[in-house]
Amino acid sequence: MAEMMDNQVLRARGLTVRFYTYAGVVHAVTEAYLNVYEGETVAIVGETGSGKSVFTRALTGLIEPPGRVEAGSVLFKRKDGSVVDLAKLNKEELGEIRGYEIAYVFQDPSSALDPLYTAGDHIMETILEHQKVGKGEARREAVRLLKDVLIPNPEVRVKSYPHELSGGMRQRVVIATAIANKPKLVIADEPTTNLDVTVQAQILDLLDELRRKYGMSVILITHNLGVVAEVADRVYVMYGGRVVETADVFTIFESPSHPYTEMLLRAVPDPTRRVKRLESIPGSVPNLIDMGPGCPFAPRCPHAMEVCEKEFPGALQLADGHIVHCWLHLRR
Amino acid sequence: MNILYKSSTVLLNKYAELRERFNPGWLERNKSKLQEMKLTLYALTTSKTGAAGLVLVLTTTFLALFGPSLSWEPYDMYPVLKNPALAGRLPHPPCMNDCSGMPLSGTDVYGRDILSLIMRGFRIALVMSLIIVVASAALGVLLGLVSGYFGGFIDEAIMRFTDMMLAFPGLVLAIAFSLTLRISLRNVLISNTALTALLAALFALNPADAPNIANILSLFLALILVWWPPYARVVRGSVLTLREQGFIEAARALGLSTWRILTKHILPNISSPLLVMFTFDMATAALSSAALSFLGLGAQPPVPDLGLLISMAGQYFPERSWWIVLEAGFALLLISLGWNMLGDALRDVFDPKTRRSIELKAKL
Amino acid sequence: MLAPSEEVMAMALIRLEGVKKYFRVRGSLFSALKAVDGVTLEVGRGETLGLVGESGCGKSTLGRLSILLIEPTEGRVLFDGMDVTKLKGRALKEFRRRAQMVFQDPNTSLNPRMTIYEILLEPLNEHGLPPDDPESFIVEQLSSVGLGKEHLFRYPHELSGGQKQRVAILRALLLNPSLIVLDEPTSSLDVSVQAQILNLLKDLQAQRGISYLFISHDIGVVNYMSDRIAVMYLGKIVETGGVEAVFENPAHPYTRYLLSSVPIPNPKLRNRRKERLQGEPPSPINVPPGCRFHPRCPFATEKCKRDEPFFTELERGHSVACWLYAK
Repeated sequence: MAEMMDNQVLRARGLTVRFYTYAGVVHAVTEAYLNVYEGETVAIVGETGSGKSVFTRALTGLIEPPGRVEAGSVLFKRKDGSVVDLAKLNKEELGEIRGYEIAYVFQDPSSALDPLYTAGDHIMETILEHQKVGKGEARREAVRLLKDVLIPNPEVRVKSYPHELSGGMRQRVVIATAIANKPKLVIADEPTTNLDVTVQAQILDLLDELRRKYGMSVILITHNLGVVAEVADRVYVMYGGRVVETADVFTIFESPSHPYTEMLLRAVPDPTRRVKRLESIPGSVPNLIDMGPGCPFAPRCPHAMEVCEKEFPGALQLADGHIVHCWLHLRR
Repeated sequence: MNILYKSSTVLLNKYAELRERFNPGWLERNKSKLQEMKLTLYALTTSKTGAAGLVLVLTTTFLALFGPSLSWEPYDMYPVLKNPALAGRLPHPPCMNDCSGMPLSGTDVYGRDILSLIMRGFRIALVMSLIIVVASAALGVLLGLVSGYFGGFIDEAIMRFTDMMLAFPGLVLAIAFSLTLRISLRNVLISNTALTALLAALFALNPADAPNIANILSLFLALILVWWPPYARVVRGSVLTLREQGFIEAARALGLSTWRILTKHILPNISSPLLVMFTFDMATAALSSAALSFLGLGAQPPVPDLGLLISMAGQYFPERSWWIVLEAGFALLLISLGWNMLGDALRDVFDPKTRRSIELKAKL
Repeated sequence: MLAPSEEVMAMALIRLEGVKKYFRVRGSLFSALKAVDGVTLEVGRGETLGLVGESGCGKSTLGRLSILLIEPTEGRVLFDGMDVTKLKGRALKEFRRRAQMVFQDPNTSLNPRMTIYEILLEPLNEHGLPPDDPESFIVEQLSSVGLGKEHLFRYPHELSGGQKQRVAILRALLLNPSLIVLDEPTSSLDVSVQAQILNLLKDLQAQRGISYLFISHDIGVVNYMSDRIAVMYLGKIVETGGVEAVFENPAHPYTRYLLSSVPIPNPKLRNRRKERLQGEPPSPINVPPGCRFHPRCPFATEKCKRDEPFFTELERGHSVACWLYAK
């Protein structure tokens, strides 16, 4: 358990992030964990306040004060095969890894791109930062990457400014920038939420294609269970800052074990079936300030027991790769 | 800082108790509103500028209200007339040890106690600023609201008119207006004693001195005429932004009348930048009216206008009247500094970004 | 308004006829932003019509046109048999009582300076319907949308997103409208809260017989809420019909692509045949001639490039505007 497997890319354990505000301590992430293997797509699913965004930013040290990573290790296998603990690296070392070995794609392409720089500028910047190549070579590479992300007329578009591009094209430019240095891991935080359905489908297809072509691993953060079902290999479900269940995608959808996962699946309207009534989850997402020691879902859980409010349940392995944190199962 | 906050919350709580006694259930209905007020007060008093500004404004306002009653000398009596022997020693500087009957803070060229004059001066300065700012704000806000909300031709017409007014240098225009309005206003006042008495009471002056009151009136009317354009501009801008907001569209969908939308939905939501403008303007208005008085366009002696006092001290400056300039100038400084600091702090309080961080600090 | 006659009762509640809305484009004399370009649509009594489409299709504009929040450039709006298109003043206000709207973002659709009580009391007072005991009346109404007395005197920012949207829905309901236009009412809410709001809307419809014009880009939500559906593309309706009919047998190529692009929360279906639409949704400023979809349509013929297709009825209630089906 303490070592990485051969084909494992990332191994995060016990990651805890707190935000110290004057209103109280925000327990953004508590003892979260994650395994990512080569060539797979891992989805992290959760609603507002689940901690999924903070968790993935904490992986590469992107947490600024008043936030602080309290504990945890993040083992990462670099391109040269060496294994480092990202949580222990300093700013400079992390800077080398970010953009070169781990890349991010964020939700809003309009704010991810600097309006004063062209598409080509963005891509070239990251190439020149991490690789020892000349400007001419970087520019050629930029055009090649734009072609890779299926932007028509890449030689022309490389000189376009963000405001001259549509939402879908901007996101493609962001993706091109992310894969420019052939990273081992791409972390995409709600990359298609702001896009139209048809464009979303194109972008998801593209991410999948690129992942296969370049042998990358993808961490996909989303609240859209349809997207998860379409592209993910394995799924982590987060609630109130904790991981509550993880399994491969088929298991999660067919035999969800955690009450939250079950109820979440039933609350999602399925476009292929007509149901009489959607099951809703009563109450609302928890306030993360000064949280208690118990399970964060207890206030809304129909199966909540006394112990649920006192202590957070440990990991229970139901099957290979299927872990759930719930007293309901631990009792049996 | 905390003392200010504590004392104001105590006052607020007492007020709430009183309302509750007369109107049971009031507290429950207004709990959120009270909370908002307390948060605003906290935000205001936490910053050093806010606290200092608040103290200065309260002090100068107190002096403005009670100064004339507290001052120990009438302003329209010249000691030198009663005691001609003093003439050679006037203006008399502030005396350190030996006063021999002369006031501590020095006199002006007529032998009047400077400090006593300044106490009255606060009233004039503040009432002037208040009238100028309130009247021009009212005019500007009205025009801005209409312009911003209705758009189209009305907007164009009002804005071009505003542009025209803004194109003139403010003080020059004020001078021109003041000079032309003077004569007609003098006649109006002389024939209308009730109006004269009212204005005299406001400024704590002698109602018999109608021509001087007319001068003051012409001064602030002139300033109002040039003061309103920025308000119209700012309000129009805010209305344009606000117009696209969801709740304005919702108000229209609900069939609410235009008047209601303007007064209950748009106006309260632009009150923050307006209030900030208001406070900064109070400072500027005080200084502008003092400047115009200094130039001789406002009241004439014996009115204890701060600008006028400085102007009269001019010919004896600096060895024989430095204390007059110092004291009157300091009074003006207190007024403008206080309002400026208050405005600064208010702007931070109302800006949602800085407000967030202050809110997180509060544990009410 | 007079009591409706029998013929009126049989008609649709609201009917849009050839409605167009063109916006002027700055700096250009000739081109216009054709947000809505000739739409004829009906919503029956007590039914939900789902309006789907992507960005730039004009569905939000159409929603606002149907309750006359904006004036149509051309066309008519018939409500309960009456032509309401050119209403002004008092008559318009009367109409507003019967046709209401719930907006997308609950964070901006409530006046941040008013308490919930004031927000809800206002429309009642404005329309001359002040309740006898305002406080208890409003508290009673709050419970019908799942809120309580404790929310009455709070400000909007003290409520959660779901709670705010409930207030917005109640505000629309208070005037007892026959039609509510819902513009993406759950898009900014979490999944678990969305389900609550959708269920609430369904319950209210069952209780009061209100018609909904439900605008959304989320096909799953539209599928759950609607009885009938209209698909919009670049300012025109391309297909309408009962929800099951359209979803099971989408006729228009755009509808097929649209449905095919929707992610399905069932991993077993992930390897199904997917038809992917190329390119981006076009701009309503440069509308292509003929059928608007022809630049992206693999079945486009010469006729498609020249002439705009009219509606063909495939089966009862299911119509499509496409030359592939014209008889």
